[in-house]
Amino acid sequence: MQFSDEELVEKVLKGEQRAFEVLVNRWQRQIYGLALRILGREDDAYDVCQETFLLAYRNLSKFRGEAKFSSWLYRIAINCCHTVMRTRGNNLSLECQREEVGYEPSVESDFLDEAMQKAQLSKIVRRALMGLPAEMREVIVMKEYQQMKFHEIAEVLGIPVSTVKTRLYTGLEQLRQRLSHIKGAL
Amino acid sequence: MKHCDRKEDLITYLYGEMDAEQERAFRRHLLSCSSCRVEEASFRAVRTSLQSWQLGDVPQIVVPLEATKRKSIAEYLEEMLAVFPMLRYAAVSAVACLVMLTVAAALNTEIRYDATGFSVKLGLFNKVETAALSVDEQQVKALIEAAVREREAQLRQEIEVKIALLDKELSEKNATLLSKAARELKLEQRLRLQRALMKLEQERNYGIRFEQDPFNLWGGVSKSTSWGD
Repeated sequence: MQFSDEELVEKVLKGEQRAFEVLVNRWQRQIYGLALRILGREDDAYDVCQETFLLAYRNLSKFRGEAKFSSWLYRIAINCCHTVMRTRGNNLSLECQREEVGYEPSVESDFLDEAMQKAQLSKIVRRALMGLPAEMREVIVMKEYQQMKFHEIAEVLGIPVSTVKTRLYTGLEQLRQRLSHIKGAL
Repeated sequence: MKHCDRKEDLITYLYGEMDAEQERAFRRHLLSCSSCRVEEASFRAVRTSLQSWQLGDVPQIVVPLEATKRKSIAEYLEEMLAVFPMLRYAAVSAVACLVMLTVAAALNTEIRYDATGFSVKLGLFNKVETAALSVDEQQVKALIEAAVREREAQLRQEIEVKIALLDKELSEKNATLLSKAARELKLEQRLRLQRALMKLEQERNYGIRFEQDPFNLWGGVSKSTSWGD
């Protein structure tokens, strides 16, 4: 029998620690993915993911069930990402900064097979995404990779739905410009 | 190309969050708005590109839930003792002292430190005569009244002695002052007599008559106020 998130939360609050492990297993991929695509670094993403679940566990009694558990968890994760970005001082990881000045690989080379082309495209997209301002990147990541609804994103970020759409539009527009030189990408 | 201001609608349509009626209306708009049509196509291409970044294997997240559990006092003490082993001896000594004091209290032991020195008296075999403490109320009253009377008499006596001393001191001071005043008066009278004699002698020698009676030792005005011929 598959319990809902809210049912699992109830169980944890009653002292069933095992129920929280189920929640962690259910959501760790999404939270890790969110953190990785916002921060661009795997070690930061892991730390954020761990911190998110720890904070969630400590504050589980404050979760009132008014919002979805996932939205509540995403909000914690986003706050953790903001903390990391503030600590780091800029939005780009060192890896991305290195990539920024490096050689731009072409994805349409005849010498590259399909898998390699995909890998190159992924790298270019990753770099283009990391080049966006953080607030646009967050919205694009939540919409494109987490498949969240506009109102959910608005709730997690604490901003109006119209602002979410505006940021998304501007972000997509900037990405289009950044990726315009790649024939295979667009 | 002319720009269109229906950006929010375009985004809502792009992500399929319009209701059926809105979607139909926007599709009609797309047919007539080349700007939105081009943007929609390019954004769809960007979205396709974005999907090329897929997550690989995600590391298993280990959440140290044990660290979040609230520790009991015993666990804290255990940790403290692990960090400071000397605390264990201090704790054992404190407990031993406590036990000794409890036993001493139970055995009615009296520990005293005064001018005579340090003394410990074991009260284990001391019987307390509690029956002797029952005293008649009248007797207590009489005892208190007698004590009050005695104290009153004592105070009265002390006051009388003090008054007598003060009286004696006052009379001595008065006598001193009187004798001093008498001496000063005598001296003044003598001086006046000397001055009067000197003036009489001058009158006699130079024929001058004073308006004032030279023998008026108390300063009164003389009856003979005119000069003699």
